[in-house]
Amino acid sequence: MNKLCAVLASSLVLLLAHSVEAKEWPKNQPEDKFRQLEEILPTPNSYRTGSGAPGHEYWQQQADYHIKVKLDDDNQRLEAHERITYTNNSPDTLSYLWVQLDQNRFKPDSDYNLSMPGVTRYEVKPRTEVGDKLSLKDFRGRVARQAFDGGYKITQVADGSGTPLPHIINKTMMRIDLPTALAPGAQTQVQISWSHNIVEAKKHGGRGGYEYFERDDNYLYEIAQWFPRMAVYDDVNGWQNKQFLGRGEFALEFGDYTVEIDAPADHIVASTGTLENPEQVLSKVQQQRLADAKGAKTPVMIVTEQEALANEKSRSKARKTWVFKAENVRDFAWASSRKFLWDAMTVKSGEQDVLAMSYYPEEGLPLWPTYSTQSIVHTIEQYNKYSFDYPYPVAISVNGPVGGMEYPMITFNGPRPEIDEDDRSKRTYSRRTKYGLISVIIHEIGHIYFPMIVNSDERQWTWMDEGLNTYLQFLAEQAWEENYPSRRGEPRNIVDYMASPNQVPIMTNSESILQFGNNAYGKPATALNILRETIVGRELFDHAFREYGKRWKFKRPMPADFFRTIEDASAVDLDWFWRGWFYSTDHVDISIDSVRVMSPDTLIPEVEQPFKRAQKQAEPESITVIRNEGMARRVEQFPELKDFYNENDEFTVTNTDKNNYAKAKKKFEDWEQDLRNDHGFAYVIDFSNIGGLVMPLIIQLDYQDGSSEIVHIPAEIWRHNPKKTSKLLWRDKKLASVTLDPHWQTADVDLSNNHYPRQIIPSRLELYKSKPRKNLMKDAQAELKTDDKDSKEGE
Amino acid sequence: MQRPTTILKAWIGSLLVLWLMSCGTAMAHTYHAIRTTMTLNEQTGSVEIIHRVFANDLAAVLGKAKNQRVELSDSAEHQQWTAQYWQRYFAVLDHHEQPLELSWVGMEIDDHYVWVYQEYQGDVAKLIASDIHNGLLMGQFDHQINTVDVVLADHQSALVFSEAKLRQPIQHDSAPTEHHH
Ligand SMILES: [Zn+2]
Repeated sequence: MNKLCAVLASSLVLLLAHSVEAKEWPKNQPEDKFRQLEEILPTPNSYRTGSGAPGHEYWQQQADYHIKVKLDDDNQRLEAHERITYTNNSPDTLSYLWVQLDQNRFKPDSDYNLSMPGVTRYEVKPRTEVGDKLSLKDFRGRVARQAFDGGYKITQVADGSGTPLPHIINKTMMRIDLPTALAPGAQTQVQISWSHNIVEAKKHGGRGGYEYFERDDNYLYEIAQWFPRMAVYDDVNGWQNKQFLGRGEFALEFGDYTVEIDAPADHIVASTGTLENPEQVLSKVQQQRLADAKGAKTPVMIVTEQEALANEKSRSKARKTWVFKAENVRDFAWASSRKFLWDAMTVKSGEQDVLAMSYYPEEGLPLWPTYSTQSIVHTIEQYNKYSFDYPYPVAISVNGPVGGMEYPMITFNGPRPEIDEDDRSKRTYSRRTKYGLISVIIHEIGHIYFPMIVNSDERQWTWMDEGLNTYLQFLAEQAWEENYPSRRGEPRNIVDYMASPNQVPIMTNSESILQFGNNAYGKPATALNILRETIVGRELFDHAFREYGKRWKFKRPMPADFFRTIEDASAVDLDWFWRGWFYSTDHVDISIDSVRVMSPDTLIPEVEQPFKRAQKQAEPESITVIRNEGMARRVEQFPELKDFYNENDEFTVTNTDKNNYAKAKKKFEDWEQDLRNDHGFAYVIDFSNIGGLVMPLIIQLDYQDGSSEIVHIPAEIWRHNPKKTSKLLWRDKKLASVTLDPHWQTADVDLSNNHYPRQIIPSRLELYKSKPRKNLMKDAQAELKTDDKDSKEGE
Repeated sequence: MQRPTTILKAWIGSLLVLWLMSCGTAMAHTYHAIRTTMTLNEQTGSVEIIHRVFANDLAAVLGKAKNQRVELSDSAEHQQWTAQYWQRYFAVLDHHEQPLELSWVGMEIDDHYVWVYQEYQGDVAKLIASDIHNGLLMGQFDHQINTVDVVLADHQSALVFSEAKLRQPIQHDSAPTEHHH
């Protein structure tokens, strides 16, 4: 770094004109990381424009439902009838309709059940002397699951007037053949009657189901994917009739719903939509409290703890029918139990009042009344900022067996505190449970925006809802409290995955994704956060993201519509970014290879020659010179051999030098003259791209005088050579060190090559080893319960 | 013959408390994964084995073993249990079926993950020629997928373990060592 090399006048001009690039061009042209995406993206048409907006002939189908359903609490079973009104808004004539039968995943002979591996031993060396109890349990669990009589029993498929329609069931899809083809713009009705056993949610890993409470012998139902739903017919795929295998979620059409839920009279029902008949199902007191919740700034209890506990003991034989209506939703879910407590408050969303409500069993106390409804309100306030105003009248969080799942206006969320079974009033929860609950509610309520309203095809593209939603979840979490422990969003949290070879690109079909959490949630969320903070900038990116929401709410966007809209609304060419982050598995690893210092050649002999002399004198003496010291020399013996050159060294300024300078000076332009007289330094920093992803260079320069600065160089610096690049920086101060990406904002996976001079970064394991040891003896004697410092006593 | 619901109920009593613990790791898509890296530390000369596990998943398995709900900590008791669990379900086996000695360094817990640290100080060539058995958390949840990334001097491999594939050689004979750039 202290090695200074003089630069000739000619190359100085060159340096100023361009940043330095590697001189050699490889014979094989490197892959063009900046090639435009047009060749990959579908050609724009009248349904979807090149700007990323819906086209002037955009269309989508409409499916309206009228459903009557009876909940059988004795047998955990539903019996139902639906009338679907299907409107063909497409320009195509349809001779058959596809209907989704998601419950058929739970049939004993489903693909899902048949593909369960039969292995029950996983130990390195199975101990033959004692049976493996855990494995046996698992095995019996599997047997129970496969013995479960799941799936639809369909008793009627008919047209609007009750005439049976020919149909065929292919696993989780049913084709209904229409006697007369459905013309563009025409409407038809289909009636289906069915029943099915409700799955035990935890056992079957479903997105809905029941939970049984042994203590009070009660059930809590979270009912989803429960009715035969119209498959999507769209301009890109035609019928979306990919089978439901459990991973890829749902593709659905918008429609209006009326649902009549016949439940035991002592149950409380939570549902998508607005309750149409409160006077028939709620007590006078409850109706009054619900009215009080309208406009309330903090949660109001509609069913209190005491009432819910009393309800738990009730066994009413009477029935009540709850009627709910929902407009412009793509699905419908509900929950029912006599265990529910219920609270509600109001949040403003644009001009509209939204009722935020939570339903939970007493097992959720004290966490749920404190955090659930507040988390809903927080989510709506934050998501409204970054997308669009929440358009529905209610937003609900229900606690039950499902860990986390979203439906229009209603979400199911799992976390609960720990209960001491000897003294049920003793309740604790860890830090992980508390933030786990807030995060899951933000996430699931967030899904009401993406994909319940911005209706992307989940079965095909998981990242379009999970990635976008996880990105906004991160923003909302950070707005909850300082240093909120977000799992995803920060670039530093994705580097492990990015460096891992076990990957597929984000642009991969749902069922083929290898590491779901990282691929479909973490990586896209981080990519969007990097766009916002580092590449596009907050103001431009936030506008572009809002524009995407505005264009596609209540419509069905495809990946290209997202990529195009963000560019269209920001005027930033991001094709290189989509290509790198969404279509490849490259990662970011940029290295500072060297920092070279150059100082300008003033060409003034009186300046340059003494400088060069000083340079020469600063070099160490050679070992020969040192050892020859005091040696007898010929010129000392015969002084007549000395002349002008013995008196003057090679750096002495001669008249010829002066004349040459005067001649050269005439050709200098003014700016060049100024620069040559300036006593600055030209630093050339050489970078290589090891990971493959091109990214902006964010360089922190620390100077010897203690000052520092950060320089941003756009990713386009890699345009000519994606593997190596150099940057010239002209500064009048002496550099002490250079750091690449000082705030860890690019997800660079190897920090050890981000410093000049090099720094040794200890590994995670080394850091752990160097940590002061805790008193393990003391820990071992502590009661096995929970981390005291992290837990909070409940009531 | 019992009706299916009755069979389910029989299991509810014993398993309910355990199921409650396993929620929260996933939203909508339940995925259960352990990510392991095996890296040669050029500075210290030892091979560092770092496992990243969802804290809720490991707590659920420990809870099953103890038949009570457990909030995982880095207490001596939980360290010891975890060390033993790892010994039972994770090993590097040489061609005589002998496990290579992996020393237990310790474990750490943050807001989301448990980090388990092991070290190998023997011959790296011997390690590369061995098999990995990875049965960690297998059979406890649906779709457990464990990945092991190995980066040892010139050798690099990426292994994926599932219930159907518990054991794999670090170096596949057919595939030449791949240099990743
Ligand atoms: Zn999600």
